[in-house]
Amino acid sequence: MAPEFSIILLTVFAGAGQGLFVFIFAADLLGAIRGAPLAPDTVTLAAVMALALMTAGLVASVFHLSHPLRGVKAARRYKSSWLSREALALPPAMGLIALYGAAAWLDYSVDARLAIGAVAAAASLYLYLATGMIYASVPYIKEWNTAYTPLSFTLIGLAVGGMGAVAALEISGGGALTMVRGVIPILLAAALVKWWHWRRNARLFTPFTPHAAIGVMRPDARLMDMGTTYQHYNTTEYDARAPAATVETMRYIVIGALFIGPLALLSLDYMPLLRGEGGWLGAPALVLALTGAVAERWLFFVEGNHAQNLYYGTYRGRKGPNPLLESGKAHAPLPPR
Amino acid sequence: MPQLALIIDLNKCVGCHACAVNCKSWNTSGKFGPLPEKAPYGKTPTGVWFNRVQTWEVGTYPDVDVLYLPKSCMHCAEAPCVAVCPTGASYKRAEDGVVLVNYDDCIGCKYCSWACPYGCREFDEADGVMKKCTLCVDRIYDTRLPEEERKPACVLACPTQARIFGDVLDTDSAASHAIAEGQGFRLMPESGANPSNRYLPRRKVKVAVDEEMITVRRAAAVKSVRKSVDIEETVIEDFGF
Repeated sequence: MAPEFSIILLTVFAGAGQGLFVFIFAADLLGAIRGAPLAPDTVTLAAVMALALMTAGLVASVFHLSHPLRGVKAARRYKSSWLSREALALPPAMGLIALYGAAAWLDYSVDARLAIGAVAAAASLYLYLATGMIYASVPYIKEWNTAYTPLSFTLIGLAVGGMGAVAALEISGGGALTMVRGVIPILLAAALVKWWHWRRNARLFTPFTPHAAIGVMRPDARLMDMGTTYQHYNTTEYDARAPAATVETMRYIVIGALFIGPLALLSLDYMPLLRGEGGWLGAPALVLALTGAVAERWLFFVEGNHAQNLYYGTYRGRKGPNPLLESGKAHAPLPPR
Repeated sequence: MPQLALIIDLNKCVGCHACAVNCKSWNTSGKFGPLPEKAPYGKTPTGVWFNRVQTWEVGTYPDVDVLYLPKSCMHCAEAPCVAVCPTGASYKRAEDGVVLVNYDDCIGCKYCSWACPYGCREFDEADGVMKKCTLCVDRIYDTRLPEEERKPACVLACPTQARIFGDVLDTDSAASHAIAEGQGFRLMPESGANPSNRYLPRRKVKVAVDEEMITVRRAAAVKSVRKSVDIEETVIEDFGF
């Protein structure tokens, strides 16, 4: 699939904003249980940062739509469309995060703040599911059509947002040690899930074949002419045309900028934090991780291989063995004539 | 509940693109506004077409065959593009099963085109909305047209009558008879979308020709050529008659 930067920026920035809020709320809640909720300044700053990230994503998404003013209508098909559910969940999530921040800024009671925050956190987590399912629910892009998609969207969003939470705590002078301890396992889990996702896609068996696509039950069918003089929507939207070397380079950029780099920065931050000194590496880690997440989403799009590409000679074909043949449940294909 | 659709006889299709051209002609000048073209006379012509005719080579030389595959919206029974549309702009009509886009509600998110396994939706950059085959819904019910012209433009244009239009759920319709007799099949059945358009497969056709007929035709052909062009009969023999 062709990577569209407006959607890439929406999923990365909104995901990071949600993650930042979820981590701050978790710290606030756990602190309140122990009788020490976060300082109102920290909560206000974190809410503003989360809203800024989500607004940046929202502004980017407007560039994807040709008719953003009709966006209000996008909430109509919530019964069947995950995109509609995302459109329905995003404004309340942002509104509740704003209320949560306002409650802290105006020094309202901590209980009221936490009650608003709990609903906002639920909306944020649901938003991860909705965003991931937009891609995972397309059955014709097998690379996306898996539980790894919403899972990796959630974990990467939480990990990147967690670095934002560390940055918010460090900037406002709150102790960030516990937050770093919470973010590192999520970052490792995100890396593990992404690795599994990539491994699955490298060995994926795709059921779509060119001969079934045109109804000729023999494998030696070849496209001679796609019916047009030049490229058109169906050849440009579904095919990224990225060279294999670029894709592999991008994979190393993702590993470095999204996983290893931020992990190293958070680890470097750990020692001064342990000594009780203020750390400052949360913000650089956030910036680096955001870059890495953009690269990861680009790779996610480029790896998507749509079944309709069979009609335009751009389908990348089967990568893995046929599980039916492997298990002996189907007859072996006849040898070529 | 009827389901209007197209049945395309791959044995009759000669790949002339008349259906695609007439489709473009009707729909770009029809009631729903133009289908834009970019650089139509330049080196990189591109634009929105609802119907495209592909050419496939099937088999390995010398046992090889050319297959022309006209492809337009399949008006699927379980249209996946309709379910994913966030605004409800994409809809399937209950009265005839035609899948349409309400251009006034479309926000241009392109999600429906991702959900289409056949690549039959095309984005109109000029209007910023998704467009697709309407099955000429502005022709087929137009009572001002003579009855025999109330058919999609592609069907009317086909010189070999390879395209049949009708209700595939009505067991008495010409379309259903053609599917049953010609072993009509669906493209990419594993898509699970249950497409309504069917294709009649390539098959061997036997034509009965007797020797006497060939002799009569040959004599007539030689006579007509000699009449119109004043040349020697030996030259005419070289033409291969």
